[in-house]
Amino acid sequence: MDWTPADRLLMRTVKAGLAWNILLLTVNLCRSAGALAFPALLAAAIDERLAGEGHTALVQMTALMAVLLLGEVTNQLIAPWCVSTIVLGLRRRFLDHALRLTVRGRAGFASGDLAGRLLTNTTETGSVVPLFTVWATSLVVSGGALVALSMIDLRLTLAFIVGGPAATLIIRAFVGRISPFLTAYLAIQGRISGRLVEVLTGIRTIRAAGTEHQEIERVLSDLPDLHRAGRDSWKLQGKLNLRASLLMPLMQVAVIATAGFVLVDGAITPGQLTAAAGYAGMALGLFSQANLFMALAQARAGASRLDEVLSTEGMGHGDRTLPGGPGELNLEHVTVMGPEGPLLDGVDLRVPGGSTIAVVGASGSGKSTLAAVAGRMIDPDEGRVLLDGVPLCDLSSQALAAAVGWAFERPAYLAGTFAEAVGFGSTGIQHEQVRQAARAAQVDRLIRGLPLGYDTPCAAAPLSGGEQQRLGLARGLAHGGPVLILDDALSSVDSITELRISKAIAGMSGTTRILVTHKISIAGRADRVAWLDQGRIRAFAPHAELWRIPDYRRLFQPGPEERHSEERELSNV
Amino acid sequence: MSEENGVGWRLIRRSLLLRRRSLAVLAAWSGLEAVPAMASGLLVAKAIDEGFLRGDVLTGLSGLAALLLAYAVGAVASRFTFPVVGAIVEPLRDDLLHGVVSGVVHGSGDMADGSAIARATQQVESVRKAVATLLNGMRRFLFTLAAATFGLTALAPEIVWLTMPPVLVAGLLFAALLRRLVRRQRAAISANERVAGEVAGALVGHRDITAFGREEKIVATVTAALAAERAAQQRLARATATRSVITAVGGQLPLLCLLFGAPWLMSRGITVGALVGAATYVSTHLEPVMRMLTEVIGGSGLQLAVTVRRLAEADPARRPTTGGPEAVPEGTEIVVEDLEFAYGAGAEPVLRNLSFTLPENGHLAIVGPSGIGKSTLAVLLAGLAVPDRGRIRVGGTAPDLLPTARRREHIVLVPQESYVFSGTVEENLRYLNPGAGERELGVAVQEVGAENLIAGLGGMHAQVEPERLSAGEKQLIGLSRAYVSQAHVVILDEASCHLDPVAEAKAELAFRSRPGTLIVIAHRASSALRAEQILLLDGTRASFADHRHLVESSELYAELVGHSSQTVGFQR
Repeated sequence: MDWTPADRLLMRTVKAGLAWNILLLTVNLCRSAGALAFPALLAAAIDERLAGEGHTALVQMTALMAVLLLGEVTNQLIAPWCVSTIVLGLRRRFLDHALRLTVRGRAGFASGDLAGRLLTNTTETGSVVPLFTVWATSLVVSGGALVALSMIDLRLTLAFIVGGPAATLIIRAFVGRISPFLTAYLAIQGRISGRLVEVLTGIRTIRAAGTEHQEIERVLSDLPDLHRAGRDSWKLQGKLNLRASLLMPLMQVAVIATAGFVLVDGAITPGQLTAAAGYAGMALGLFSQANLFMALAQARAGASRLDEVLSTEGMGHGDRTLPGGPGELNLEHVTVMGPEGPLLDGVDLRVPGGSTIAVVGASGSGKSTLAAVAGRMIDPDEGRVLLDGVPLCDLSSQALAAAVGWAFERPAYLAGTFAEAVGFGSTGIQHEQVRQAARAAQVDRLIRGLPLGYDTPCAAAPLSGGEQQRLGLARGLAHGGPVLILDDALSSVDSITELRISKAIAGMSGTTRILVTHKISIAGRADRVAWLDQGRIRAFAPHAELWRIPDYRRLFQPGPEERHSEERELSNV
Repeated sequence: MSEENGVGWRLIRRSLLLRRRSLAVLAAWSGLEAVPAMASGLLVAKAIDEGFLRGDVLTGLSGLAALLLAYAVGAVASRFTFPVVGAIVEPLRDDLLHGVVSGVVHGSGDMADGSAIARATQQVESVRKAVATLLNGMRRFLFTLAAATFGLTALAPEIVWLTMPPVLVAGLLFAALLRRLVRRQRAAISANERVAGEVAGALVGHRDITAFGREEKIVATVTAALAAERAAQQRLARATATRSVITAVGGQLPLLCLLFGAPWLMSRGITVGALVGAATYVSTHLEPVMRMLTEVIGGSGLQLAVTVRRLAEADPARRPTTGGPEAVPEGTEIVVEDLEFAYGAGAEPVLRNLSFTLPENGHLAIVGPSGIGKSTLAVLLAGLAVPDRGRIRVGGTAPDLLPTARRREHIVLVPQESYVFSGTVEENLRYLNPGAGERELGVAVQEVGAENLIAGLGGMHAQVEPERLSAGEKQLIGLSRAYVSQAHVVILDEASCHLDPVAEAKAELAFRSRPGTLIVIAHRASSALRAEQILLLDGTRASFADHRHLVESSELYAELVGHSSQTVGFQR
């Protein structure tokens, strides 16, 4: 047999849970044996009681019932424990790997998709552990019941074999016919919740316009269809259920009738008649083996989705530390390839330690890519990046994390309390430093206005996009490493706030600052401006020098019409 | 049971009470469905005693044929219970969904995001399923119990005394366990939600976690949540194991009692057939429904108990409708006097001692740093909130006293996040003025500068897919819609911040040349330069003046506009 990586992952999972598996198998085989013995003991007990021959079998039956109950309880305690141990290990490993994926590797998976894999597919994969036990025990029980049935009388087996397959076929037809109804139902439901999400985005407009009732009706316009689909599926279920619910008693009656005949012959006892009915029920399990194969198929599908991520390359690190220089960054002939040609094309850039550079350029000129390479968010395809002479890829992950602080246009993972969110990137940060960074990023006032101040959980105080941006900025400013990279991190900040923040950043001498920006005010305050054009450095010079170049001015200027109207406005002053 | 729990149950009870007729029909079918449970033991007893044991195969078989007939009746009745259950739970789902939707639309607006909505709709679905399962489980248990008790009594009343006490004891024990089961289920679900939240947070925050090299810390945090979830599940599993013991008491003990008491029963003249018949009742009817009952209540019942609490949050808390005489604003003069407003009783006021008067057909820009209360002022001016102190008059009328339907004829507030819904372009534009003609729409679109956008979408009759529009494009539609409205007071709350400066200027100028008052909350300083009056909010005080005076009196303002003139590209 050809082992796929998913199968190998399943095998490893089973091996990891081998001891558990053996324990589970033992407990459940005992239960199966007990379950098989039960109808026979019941028959013996009934016969013995009817004949008034004491209570040996009945006591044995009672003991067996107790053992069976003990087995059931043991299984209920062990099985989830065993599966969850395996699943916990799988989830941990998966998350660890997912967080270490390279940006490019990660780009193939949406966050929701990864979360689904982590939560659902690990469970499916882990469920392979008790699967063998379930399969083995159900085979023992149903096979054993069939044998027991024929041991009572062969004619009973015959009655069973005629009825059994038909029952199974009908149950399967049920699943096949009901699913289109469910799909239609889910589709309508999806439409309704889609519209509700839409309404949420416009809730302020709706409140302002007082159109709440109109909106409720619009969202629920498909409700009658949903109602109809729901009612139809109930009707269909009723029809299909009729056949299934007729078939089971038919089989049981067939077995009892056969047993009745045999009873007349005197070949079996009244007790055995009861046992026969019991065994017939147990033997039906033989026809539901298909479910187990379905479960195995599901586990394989789950494992293969896990493997897709686990086999995607992660980011590696070296083991060097920084010598403790001024924080000079050197990009040497850096090229980064994108899906449609280079994002950066042979960029050489030397950023003196402690200086501020602004990175400007039209959209798509490679500004964010430059920032990402400079802090080793991604590795260049060609060339290298050095910080105080050490290639970034040789740094240990701790050294790299301590060296570079970041702030983004849309910060993520602002979790825990506000103090924790701001101090996220800095080990052992003092509260005063947290506040200082928050003041510099103009969020101190906002945070202090919250019910618990800095101890307020972020989740308890939803922030606007601009406020989140400033909180993310505070986190970057609090980092305190030799390099600070701001990737368009002031884009949503209004003019007055921006003014205050850029003054604070200008005061951070001793930190090498790389500011990706569209804003002239930031470019104007930087020591030098790196002007990117289609992945290449077009110029690297102070703002005032570049300002003479019309193309450069055009980066910050709106069209001629606007200039005109604004000139008119200003001439009024 | 807590107050909010009560709300959810009330919703369900109210809906079920409205379906009394269906419930009665369901009870009738359930009675028929229980026919085999009632007849089986009696018929088996008869077939054995009068048929097979006497060698009379025909009588035996006819007994079994009657049993088959009983099963057929039961199966047919069972088939008809399904549509009736549908007639009960589908309207319940409709009611609940209606509650959730009005909760979102009318509610306090705390529903943080789309995923909260997805959860709410899933909860409605799980309540629907749980109610159906519970309804089926409970009715089958009750009717089967009654039928079997009847059958056992008909066989011999002594058998009932022997077999029923364990069922009773099990019922009591289970009721005692239920509270603990609910608690543990709730704990398991909230642990699970915490895991989902942590995992989603970690994966969405991937870039930032990697950027700051915090992978190990996050893996540890998430693993802790995962371990807590596992512990909660294990506690639930222990309670479930206890449930199995109770099920055994109720399901299997009656059989043991029957067998241990067999000699006593036979000494009282009870036949072999009656004993086998009683065993049939106990093991093929009573035991399965007992098992089903604990499973259904322990599964769907718990799920319902937990979900109902969440649903209560969606109960529409309606906003107080303003009564009083119908005021109609005259003119567009805006007067604000000693205005004070705070979010909540204990909170620091966002606005305090604010006074200004904006003359008819005025053009005001409100300028100030983020979080200073600009949007709050907009909301107050639009009458969507009531001042704590002081007063606001728009055309001589307090805007919050306008009936909602009238309000949009006078005041329109365009927020930053523009609302575009799935529908035609036309429907979106007519949202605030359903009676607007084609020509008016055309003019609005042209004036605001949305012609190219609308043409690109395929014209007025084209279907809009909101998720394919950029934030700026949505704002253009929102602005055109406001232009179409008949309102004479237009408030733009950073409503053009995603447009480029040229497009923003065009849109603002369009509103300025339209009759009425225009209030712009400025995102860019350039908006202030276009206005006649400027309200500068800087936290300590408010200044209301025109541009010339403000430049002289406020250093902050001077710096801001001085800066801005460079932003828009001038060198003086």
